[in-house]
Order: sequence, then structure tokens, then C-alpha cells
Amino acid sequence: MVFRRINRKIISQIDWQMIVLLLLLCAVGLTVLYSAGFDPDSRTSAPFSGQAKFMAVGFVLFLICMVFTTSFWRKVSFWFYAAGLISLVLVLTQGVVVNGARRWVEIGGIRVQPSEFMKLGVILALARVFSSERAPRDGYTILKMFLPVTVMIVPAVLVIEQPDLGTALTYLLIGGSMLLVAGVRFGTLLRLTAVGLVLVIPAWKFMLKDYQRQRVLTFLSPEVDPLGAGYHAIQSKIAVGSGSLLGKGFLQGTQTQLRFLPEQTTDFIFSVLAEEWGFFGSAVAIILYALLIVRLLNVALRSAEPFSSFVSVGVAAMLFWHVVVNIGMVIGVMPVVGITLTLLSYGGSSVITMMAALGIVAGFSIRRFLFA
Amino acid sequence: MPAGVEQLDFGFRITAARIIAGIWLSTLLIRLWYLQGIHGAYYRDQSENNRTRAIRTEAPRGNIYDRTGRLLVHNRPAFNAALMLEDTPDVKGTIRKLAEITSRDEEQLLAQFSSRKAGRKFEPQVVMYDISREELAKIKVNTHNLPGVIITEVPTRAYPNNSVAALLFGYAREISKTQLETYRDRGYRQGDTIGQSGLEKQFEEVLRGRAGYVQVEVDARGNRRDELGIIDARPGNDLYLTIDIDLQRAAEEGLAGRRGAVVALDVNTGEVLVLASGPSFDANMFSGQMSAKEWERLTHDKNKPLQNRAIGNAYPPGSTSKVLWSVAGLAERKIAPHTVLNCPGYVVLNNRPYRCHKKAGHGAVDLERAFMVSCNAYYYQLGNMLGVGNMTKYLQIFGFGERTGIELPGEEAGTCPSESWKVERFHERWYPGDSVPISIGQGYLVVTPLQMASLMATVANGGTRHQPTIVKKAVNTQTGQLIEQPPRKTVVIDPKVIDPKIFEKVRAAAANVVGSRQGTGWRAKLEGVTIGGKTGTAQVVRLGSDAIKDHAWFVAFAPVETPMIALAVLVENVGHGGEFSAPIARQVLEVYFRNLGMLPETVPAPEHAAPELVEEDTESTGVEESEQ
Repeated sequence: MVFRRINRKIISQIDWQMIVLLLLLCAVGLTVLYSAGFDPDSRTSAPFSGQAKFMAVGFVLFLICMVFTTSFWRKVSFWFYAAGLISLVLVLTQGVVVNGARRWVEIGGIRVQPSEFMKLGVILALARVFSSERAPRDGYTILKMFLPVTVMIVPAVLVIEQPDLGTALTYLLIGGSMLLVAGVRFGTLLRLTAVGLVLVIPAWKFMLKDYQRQRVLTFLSPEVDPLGAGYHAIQSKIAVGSGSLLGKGFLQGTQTQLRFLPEQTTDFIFSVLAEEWGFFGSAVAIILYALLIVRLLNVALRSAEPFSSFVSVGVAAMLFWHVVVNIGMVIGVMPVVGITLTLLSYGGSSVITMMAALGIVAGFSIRRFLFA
Repeated sequence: MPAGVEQLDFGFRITAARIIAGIWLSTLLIRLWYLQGIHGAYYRDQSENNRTRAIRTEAPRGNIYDRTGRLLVHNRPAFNAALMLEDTPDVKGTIRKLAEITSRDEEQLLAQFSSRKAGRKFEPQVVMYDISREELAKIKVNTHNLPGVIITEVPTRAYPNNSVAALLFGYAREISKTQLETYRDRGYRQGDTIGQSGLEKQFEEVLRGRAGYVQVEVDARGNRRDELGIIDARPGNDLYLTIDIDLQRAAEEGLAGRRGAVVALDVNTGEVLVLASGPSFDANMFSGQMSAKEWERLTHDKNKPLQNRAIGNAYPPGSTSKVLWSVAGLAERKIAPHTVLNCPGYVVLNNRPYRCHKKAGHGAVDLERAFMVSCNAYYYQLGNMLGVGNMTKYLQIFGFGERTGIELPGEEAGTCPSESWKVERFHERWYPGDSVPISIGQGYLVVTPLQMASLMATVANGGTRHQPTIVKKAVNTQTGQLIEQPPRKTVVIDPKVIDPKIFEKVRAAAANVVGSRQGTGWRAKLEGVTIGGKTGTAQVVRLGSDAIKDHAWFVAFAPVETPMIALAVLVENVGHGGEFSAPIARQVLEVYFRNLGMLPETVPAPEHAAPELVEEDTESTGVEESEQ
């Protein structure tokens, strides 16, 4: 039934712009990852081949998600969210510990990171909440915010337990952005800002762990401790800056090939791009991201239904915050927070989640005319 | 249009979102322009014109301790002489000079060096491993003549107990090309050390240290000017074994260089107290750079010292299997403890005579007596009553034919013969004659010493099969926290299948083997502690070589009243179990109970009180007739 409905107009209505942007970003990602994981001894790059497989799977998922109708996603949204919560609890009880953090569960020999899939769960659940009949018409007040805030806080708390502060932060950033787009009363907004400012000091003292405080301090002045906590910041700046205008060339980055940045296939992938492809390459990547975000917001604006609008906003927010926080960290305008750069960083769960999310929005994009 | 939200508002907010996103992304671009456009030349200079170099700092692997915290494996500093290719104008000449100064063989050094692939320009290439203090001093004095030669300090494995438990530890060394392909995903790089065998291999994730790097800025002469960055080396984590090094030493001394194995288990936990395999060798041979000659000698030794006989080799259990058949016979109600069978010196089964080791026969024997004197005729008849189906059933219940799951590489499963097993293995049906030798632990049945020790532990504790473990705990050296180990499985045998009283009966019979004046295991007797045991003398069936002697087995547990420890001893090709293996068990048990304060200072050697006694149990006669 689904197929018959979309068959006729499918070619003309498919969001080719989104697909092209997505594929270009994948191509950039694979090129950079090849270099980041390149081993001069064997002249191969293991993360590259892994990521290529993830992207292939992700693209198939993109196409599949595109086929399902908006009402299908609305129906499954809470179930998806609930499944996500259960899997996060499973991670805490049955998870595999890697580098001191419990983030993965093993399913049939494959390690997956449920906290990544949960990003989509949060988006779907919040979209449903914001588009429900009971959503306030005249903007959210603090009391009315209870439900949506709970929806984002619960998984964030579970993820902090892993511990994975970065991912918890993305839930809040995505959820917060969606909340703002759904509309918050002006007075409420002012009051919340004031409370937030007052709470900064106790939060700094009691909530953050030592290493997290250290990161913020070294962000403010990395030169204080060049061999310790400021190490990442300085090395990353040298890598990015030395890329200059046109870069050192593919596989020619000295910082990259000497492995001077830890986690250069994941958190610091952008430094590899910047070092080897220069300002030119970095700007191309940022512009591709910007175009994709604009595209997602356009779908949000033109969607036939509020639910699909909010999902599109959520996916745009997810992409945006990953890009801003990650690149900001690499080039020294944000503290070091463990947030990956979507579609460039190595990681199957993350790639697959992003592509599925884009597939859902691409599906809305097709249907905006069918239902108009 | 979203319900409940004015379209204008919604549109306004999306536009605002676009603008905010635009501002942020522009900020990123501006910052990038600042770093790469305006200051690009400065950073390019920092990264390239200042010559930087990565120098590895090796991380020590974790220590290994015994159950009481005594150090078994640690690290000592070893010095290597290495070349920085970039700073060495004449590589061959420099190596020649090195050889001259240290009076080493020049050709050998050159050959060794060129056999390794030229590596990264920035990383030192080792020419001489583990040099002596004298050599170190000579090189230091001649530094000016040796451009590009540097001395690197590398933590190297050291074993204070030399040969004790050497085989358990295995060894770790530089990762090979082929291994690198498999392990690259886990962050290994050329030059890293990786466990190659034994515990070093099995617990690689725990023991592994992560090398650090120092990024240094050097001048044109290769002298350090400044440190630019450092990645700290992370030492590996510590492993605490369940092994008791005193017992392990006693066992290895007992084996005295012969081929064989000793396994001792804590019957209540499955913890391995002893896992010895002979002959042993000095573990320190593995550390540093072992010469090709030494390696050759170790791998080509006909006694195969690198084979872990306690788990990696399966043997016919001989009469020690009578422990199992006694349990099976009672559980299946084929016999009762008081059932008396006749031993005229042979039995006729399937129209063939099978002889007992005592030609004159043991006469009318009940279970206790048959077990004590190891009467073959009794067990041939019992095996015949059980049939192959029941034999297979009980072998399976006690885990024969499958690996115990101990945390060591190279464990053998042994066999669990059954009708279907034979069809699969030999494409032949099961003949009644196949069952007969199995009832005295010969024929198709082969087991590892660990499996036998596990059987004894299960009999001793009344029916609980603990998965044997060799690791007490793994400790994160930085945080002091325990590193989780995979759960072990514990199987409690259904008391409806085997009544715990049956185990009690068998334990009582085993106590006579050691304690009675006529028992075959009297040499294991220890004044002050009661010991239950069973001897075994497994015939080695090898065509045309009659000279090969039998394998000597002894399995035991103690104390009989409240068992704590179970063990299995095997010595290859020496003869009778009671004569060669029981004394080794006694040696281990003596140390065990003395350390527990349960024995007086000196214990008299066991005396043989019954001169007219039949010395030993031998199964050979019966098997020969049935097999050939």
C-alpha cells in the first residue's frame, strides 16, 4: 500500500538535494578517515573499511526510513523511545566496558552504542509531545515544560551514568532547541536564564568531575599546562593551523600521520581534515553541513503536519550541535567535550542513526505535497 | 502548520533558528580563517620547520602474583642500543663500530638489522637488544663516534621463581607483522608488545601496557631542544592467580624433570592451586632477546617442554576412571555397595576372556575391595552391566569430552566416546568389544589431568562442578579497582540423578586406597591427614614398540571427612601410578596442609606394611586381548 502511494510521483518528489548533500558528506568523511586510520606499514586503513560498511548499511536504512509514512513514525515514536530507555538500562547492567566507560552492548558479536540510537528516540518522542493536542497554544511555562523536560532528562541521566557527558549534553541541546522552536513564553525564558546563571557556581563545584573542570580551565588558557590537560588543545591547534589555506595534502599531515592527536578517527577527525586539506577543505565541509541544516529546516517549515515539522527541527538540531560543539572543540572555541562529528567521525551506531534520521525527514519531504 | 502554534510564530522561530545556526557556523569559519589563513604560516612552521620527533616510552606490562600476593612475574629494565636513521649518515659503518666496541659479531648484527624492515624515520631502530652493563658503559663512552646511536630503556619480563610455573605464564614479545593485521583495530602499533602464549596471551587485555610518546623538537644535530607534547605511557594492570606458588614448586620438584602434569583444585571453588607441567624450563629465557639457538633447543626438545600437559594433552585415564564407573554403577543401581562379583583372574565377555592384573584372581569382591585393589574383573563386569549408553551419560555429566573452560589457551577436550561419536569419527558402528576397555579407562577414552582433578573435586564436594579458574582477580593498577572477569559456570548435579550418598560411598572406598594396608595408593599416606585416592596405570598402545612404559596416574582429595583439595598427578611412561605418582601427590598435600598448620613439623615417610600385597594394578593384559 505504501509503495503504491509513492510510486507515481516518487522520482520527481524525492529530495535529491538532501541525498546529494548526504553522499558528499559521506565522501568527505571516508577520505579523511582513510588518512586518519592510515597505517604506513601495511598501507591500509582499517577504520576506513569499517566506516564504508557502516555507511552502506546506513544508506540502505536511509532509503527504508524514507518509505514509511508520517503517521507510522508518530505511532512508533513512544515505542522507539521506550525501547531506547530499556537498552540504556541494559548498557548499565550488561554493557561492555571500554576505556573505563560502559557504553556498548554486544548483540550477536556486534558492538552497538544504544545512546546513539536514543538521540533519534528523544527527537521522535519530543516531536510527538510538542505536536499533541494538549501542547500549550500560547507557549510553554515552567509547569507545562515538565513532560518534555522529563523526556530528555531521563535518558541523559542514564547516559551520564556510563559515564558519557558528551552524549547526555546532546540530548539536552537537541531537546532544548526543539522546545524553543515549539515556543516558550518570554517571561519564562527570562526567569530560566536567571536561574541558570545563579546555578553555574554550585554546578561547577558539585556536579562536574575533576577532569571535566580541568578541561574547562584549560580551554580558557591551554598554555598553563602544555604537556598535561592543555595537550589536546595545543596539538589540535597546531594541526589545524598548519593546514594553512590549501592543506598539506592527502596522507601528508605530519600531526596526523605521527598520531599526535588521540582519538583522531573519532573526536578529533576534523583536525585531520583541516591539516591535510586546509581552510579550503574545512570550509567545504562546514558549508555542506550548513546546506544540509538549512535543507532540514526548510522541510520543517513546509511540512504538512506539526509532528513532521518537529522531527525535522530535531534532526537539524542534532546535526547542528554535533558540528558546532565538535569543530568548536577542535579549533579551540569550545572546551574539550567528547562529542563526535556526525558523518566524519568513525562509529557505526552514530553513522547509522544519523542516516536513518535523515531518511525519515527525506520521507516527510516527499509527502509534504502528497498530503497538502 | 503545527496545531496550537500560530504559523507566523513558527515561521519566525525557524527563521531565528536559521540565523543562529548561520552565526555559529560563520564563527567557526572565521576562527578557521584566523588559524589557517592568518596564522597558517606560523603553525606550519611549528609543525614542520622545527623538526619534531616522536620518541616512544615503553609501558611495563602488569605484574602477576600468586594467590597470597607473592610476586611471580614483574619487569626489570633492559637496555637496547638503537639507531635514529635520520641522524646516522652511514648506517652500516655505525653498526660495524658498535660491534667493534662491544666485541660482538659484526655480520650477525648487520644481518639481524637488515632482516627487520626499515621503519619510520622518526622512530629508533633497535640494533642490539638487552645489552649488558659493560656494553652500555662502552657505548656511552664512545657516543661521539656513534652518531645517531641512542640507548633506550625497555621494561622486560623477569621471573623471580625461574622455572616454577614458567609454562603457565607463557611469554610476551614484539607484535609480528601478521598479528598486527588482526590487532590493529585494537590500537596496536609496530613495536608494541603482545602476549604470545599462556597467561600473557589469555590476559593480554589486562596485562597490556600502552606505550607513550614524547614529541620533541630537535636541532640539526639531533639534540633535543624542547618537548612539545607528551602522551603518557600507561602501565598494564596486575593479575592475581589462584595458584599457590609453594604447592606449585612442590609439584614441579615432584615431577623432577619428567614428562607429566600435576593439577590441584580447591574443591569448594574450582580455584586451581597447582597447574604444573613437566619438564619445566627457565622462564627468563623468554625475556630479552632469546637467541635463535635457545629457541631451537626449546621447540625441538623431544620432551616438548612447551606443551602444557595438564590441559593440552589427553591421556587414557586407566584405573582412575574407576572412580567414575563406581559412581555410575551405584547411581544406575547396577550394583549396590555390598554387591559381590567374582574375580577368578579373568572374565569372559562377548565370548572372549579378559584378564585381571592379578592372575590368581581377587576372589569374591565387593565395591570397596574392588576399588581398593583395583580389580579389573569387577569393573569389566560393571562396565558390561552399564553398557555404552550409560557410560557416555556419566562421562557427559562430569564434563568429559569438553573443555573445562579454564582461562588458558590450548586446552584439549579429550573424548567422550559414544555410539554416534564412533560413527562420526571412524565411520564404523560401536562393537560390544569397544565398551570393555573403557570400563577400565582404556580404549577410546582419553582425558586431561585437569578433567580428572575436576572429577575428583566434584566427587569430593558432593556433586558440584565448578568451572576451574586460575585467576583470583585482576586489579587496575591506577585506580585500584577490580577488573571484571567473565562469569564462571557452576553445575550442581541433580541429586535425583546422583544421590550425594553415592559420592560419600566412593569417598570411603577411596580413603581405603591410601589408608588401608592393602591399598594401591599407600605411598600417598600422610600422617595427620586422611587422604582419599585412586591409582591408575594407563597402558600406552603403540604398535611395534613394546619398550614404551605405562603412564602413571594418581588422583586424590583430602581430608576425607571435609574435603578441601583435589588433585590429579600424571607421569608419562614411567610405570605404576602408585609407585611414581602417589608420592608426588603426597609431596603437594604435605606442603598444603603444613601451610594450613594442620601438620606437625616433621612427617614420617609412609611405610609399607603388607609385604605379600599385590603391588599394582595393570590393565594391559585385558586390553591387548580385546583390542588386537
